[in-house]
Amino acid sequence: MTRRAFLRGLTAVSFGTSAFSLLMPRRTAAQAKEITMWHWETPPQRVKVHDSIVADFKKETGITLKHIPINFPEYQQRMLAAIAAKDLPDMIQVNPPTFMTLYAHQAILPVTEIFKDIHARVKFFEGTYRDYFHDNEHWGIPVFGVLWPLLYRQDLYQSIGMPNGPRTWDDLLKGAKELTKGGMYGMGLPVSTNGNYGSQNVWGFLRTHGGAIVDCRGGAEKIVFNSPRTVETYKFLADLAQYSPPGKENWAWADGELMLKAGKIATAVFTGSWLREADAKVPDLAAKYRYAPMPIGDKGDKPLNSGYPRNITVTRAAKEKGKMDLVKTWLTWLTQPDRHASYLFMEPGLFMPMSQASANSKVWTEHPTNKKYAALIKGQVDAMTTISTIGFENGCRSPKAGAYEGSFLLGAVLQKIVINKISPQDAVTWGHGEYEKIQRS
Amino acid sequence: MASAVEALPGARRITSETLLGYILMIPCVVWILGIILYPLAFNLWVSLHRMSMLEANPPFVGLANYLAVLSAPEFWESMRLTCIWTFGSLVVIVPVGLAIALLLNQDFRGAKVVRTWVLLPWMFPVIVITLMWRWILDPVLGVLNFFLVATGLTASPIFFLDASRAMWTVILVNSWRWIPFMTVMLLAALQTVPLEILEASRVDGASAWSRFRWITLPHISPMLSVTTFMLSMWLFNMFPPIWLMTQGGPGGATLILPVKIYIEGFQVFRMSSGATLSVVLLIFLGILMALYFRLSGERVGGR
Repeated sequence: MTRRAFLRGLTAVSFGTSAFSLLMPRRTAAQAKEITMWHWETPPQRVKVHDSIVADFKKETGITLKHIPINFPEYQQRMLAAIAAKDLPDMIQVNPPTFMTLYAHQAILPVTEIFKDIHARVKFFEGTYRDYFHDNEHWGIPVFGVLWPLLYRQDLYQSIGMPNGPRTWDDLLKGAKELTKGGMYGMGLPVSTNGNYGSQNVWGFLRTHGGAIVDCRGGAEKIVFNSPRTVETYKFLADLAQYSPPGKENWAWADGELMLKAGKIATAVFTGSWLREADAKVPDLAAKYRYAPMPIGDKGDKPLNSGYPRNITVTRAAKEKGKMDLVKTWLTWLTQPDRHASYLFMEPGLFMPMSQASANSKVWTEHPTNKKYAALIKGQVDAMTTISTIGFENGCRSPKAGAYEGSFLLGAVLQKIVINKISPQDAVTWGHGEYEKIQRS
Repeated sequence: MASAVEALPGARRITSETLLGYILMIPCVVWILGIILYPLAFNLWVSLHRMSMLEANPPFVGLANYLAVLSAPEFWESMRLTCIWTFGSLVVIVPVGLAIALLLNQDFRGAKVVRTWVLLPWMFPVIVITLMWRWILDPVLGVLNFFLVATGLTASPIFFLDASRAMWTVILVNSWRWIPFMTVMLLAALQTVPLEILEASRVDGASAWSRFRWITLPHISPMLSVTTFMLSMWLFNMFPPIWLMTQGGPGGATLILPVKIYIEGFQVFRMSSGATLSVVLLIFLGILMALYFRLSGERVGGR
């Protein structure tokens, strides 16, 4: 074969293949019983649990669920690209800010009927669906909660006469001061904008003390960050930061986790993500930790903690492709208590049940990790009722919630005070202005 | 058709071979249009509109985004930090890379092995290098601070990534990775320096410095200038090392332009602001590139 003949042949084959793929039917019979779902549980062990759950689903119902794990930093962009390309999956797992992005683009459908149907059976905790109730409709089906209550070393706090951990700001400051000695630090407070670790820590204290970013109770959304409660919270946190290890100015979640597992910090605001590895490598140390409600600043405070109730939303694409029944089957199937509990073990200690039925199920209560660390798990389940999400306070469902959260301004304000030595009032005033800029943009 | 083409004076004859050539070029042209020109044009379009995550039809705002960006002190602070990052890195990478290349250009036992091993830091993925250094430098758990305190070199741990030291720390870590690249490029150039000229100058009594200044340096200067220029372009645009080590912090101490662009676009979702910064960065680099080609052209022309 000559070179020319070979190239001609290759060109013809390329064009032929492209034409065939463009002209072939878009939907096969198998695809008719197939639904797709996006989520951001990308670590291998979590993907494996998803694989196993969807295999069971296929076996029992004959429906194929294609789950697509996408890294969280790309999630919003992928969603927007899919909206623009009209190529959304049938379901998207969301947190409150991502829900609002989808809602603003009219990409999702209300699921009130499905919600009511499942809720009647399993009794979702209110904190898991409150943020997804909007315009008198439910827009998501709760799947689990991830939250950040206060974690403390019980043995150390016992040694200073506080066996139940710090309950007030005074307790926390006193405990942090007394426990900072000999290479140990009383508090692990990130003063950082390295991911949302710093901001989520501030948020728990801020909300507990009555501070907020937005307020919608008067109708339109107003930025209310600059308030006496916010300034008091930052003054307290700047004091507390003295008892946090050097390097806190750059901490991301992994740094906090490392400090916990190295036994270097007595107190932290943290999720249960550290528990799986700690149980495997330093079980004696892990057993010394307990969760407590967020400490209060004064009698008017009510403990609230950072957290995200995760829901599954259903897109318009599902309806357009006639897949609503399949979607409903999946959501109903997944939320059955025992099955749902086994789904949560894709990361033992981190994902909390979204209903009393799941929390009471045998699969949940009898799991070795949950039995061994019963106090730690119970502390997190209890905190499911006190979750507060940035941009969803004071009656708001802010379309800018993702941007408020993603700006990490709560951490940046603390940095201004601790690193740049700006007064708390001036730093808060600066933060207020920045939030207003985001709101206008 | 072919005869009509042939009839035109000066027209090129379109043979089946040239036609086949054009057809074969199509995928490449589509590829370039799709992955370079379209994103570039879209980025420009976004910079002329007010676009966040929420607008399906963002309004046209003309040059308002450019005026807002260029009048913001934060932009100029970021530009200043980007210049410190770029030139600070060059100041470390170029001389150290050259010195190591000169050493490795000598004949000694095991030279080939050392030449291979010197590339090692450059062969590791950037994420491995930066995270490894983050842990090494950690003030509480890091091995370097443990060593410094244990040996009495410092009384207490040093926080290498605090606001006052973070920029130089990331420059040194990044330089550690890029020095091998400079070394290998210059080593290749050094091997083209004619040995007989060096030998003749040695016989004539020229000192080592004179031989380097008047023989070696002129021979390697084209490679040195091209590599330095390329490196400065890459450094100006570089995102991963700073993102992985500090994400622009603490307190904005390492907030170089590429990191700021990412934060604007993908964390605060001010897409237009991010796109505008990208265009400004592109123009700035374009000017630098034009200056470089003009200067290097003049130098070649002047010879």
